[in-house]
Amino acid sequence: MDDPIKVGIADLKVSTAPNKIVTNALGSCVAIVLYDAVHRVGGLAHIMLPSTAFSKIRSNPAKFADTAVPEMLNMMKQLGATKTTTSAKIIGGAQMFANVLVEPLGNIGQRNVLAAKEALAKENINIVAEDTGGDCGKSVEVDLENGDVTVRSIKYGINKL
Amino acid sequence: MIDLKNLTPFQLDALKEIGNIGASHADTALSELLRKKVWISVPEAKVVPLDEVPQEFGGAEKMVVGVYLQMQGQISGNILFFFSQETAMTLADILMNRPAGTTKVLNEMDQSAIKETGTILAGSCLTALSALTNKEIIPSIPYYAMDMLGALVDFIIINLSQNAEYAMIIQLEFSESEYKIDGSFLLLPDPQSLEVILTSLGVG
Repeated sequence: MDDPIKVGIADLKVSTAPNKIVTNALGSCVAIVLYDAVHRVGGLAHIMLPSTAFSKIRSNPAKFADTAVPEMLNMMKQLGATKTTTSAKIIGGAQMFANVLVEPLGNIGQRNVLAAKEALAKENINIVAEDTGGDCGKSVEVDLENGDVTVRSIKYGINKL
Repeated sequence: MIDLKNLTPFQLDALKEIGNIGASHADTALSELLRKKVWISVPEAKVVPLDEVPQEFGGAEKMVVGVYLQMQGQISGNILFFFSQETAMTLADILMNRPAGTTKVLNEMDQSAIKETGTILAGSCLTALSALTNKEIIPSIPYYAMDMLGALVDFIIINLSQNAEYAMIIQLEFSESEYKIDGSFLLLPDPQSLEVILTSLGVG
């Protein structure tokens, strides 16, 4: 099998079974994973900010929760996915240094998680699993064969979603 | 707003000079604290695309211990001091007066001592920056974490990403040969503050 497809910061990728998609070292960023179990098409977005309102530089849809979700759904559609058979998993949104609040964003991890949930609700996508919040970094691998998500962290080892 | 991509070599040299003076202060402070001769490399001032910041310092998944402080006042930004777990254990041994190799787990006291090292380093650099620019800069309390480098820096990248696509980073590398301590010290001014710094240095 080919190497897993890598997703960087403010980046998103979609693909089909039997490929795998990975992203590394999420802190306050959030990984939004979409998977259509019927058509075996999926995607992963590694977002940095809740919405385009938070940045002067808005050209990259993968940077924001509110633009990454529709963009990913669109790209998955081109690979044969349908919205009604697609569900979501979300990972990340930690606060790495306990109690650090950098104004004006405050607890940005928490805000990213909420924004991801809102963006998914807007598209009527169900969230079937999440591993969010806390204070540890996470790396994520999505297996497009079955939609299984493996989350790795130093504190908790491996968590299957 | 200043365009980070178009900083001139002359401006970068001026920023490097902040690192140079900061380094000489930090060198003395750290050598005194550890009672060892600590070497600090020639500082670098570089402009890095935000999404490549973890790559620039050894990769997103590299396990590190980090101390974070915010710069506040007339110049704002981020300070991150990070090193390997081995260096953190050795630092704890030295700071807590234990024989080398004793520390296996970093307890709360060790973490406090490591945070204090970060405060002293940050203080030395900010004193230099403050004197050069004639601006008031106040460091926040230090914060401690141990995790993947990419996870530790992403909130800094997120903050900078509100106004910029690049980070201007002043980097110092320090090492001590007997105990094999090494680490990195990064100063990341906010884009607005970078403009203040360059103007105060007469290269705005």
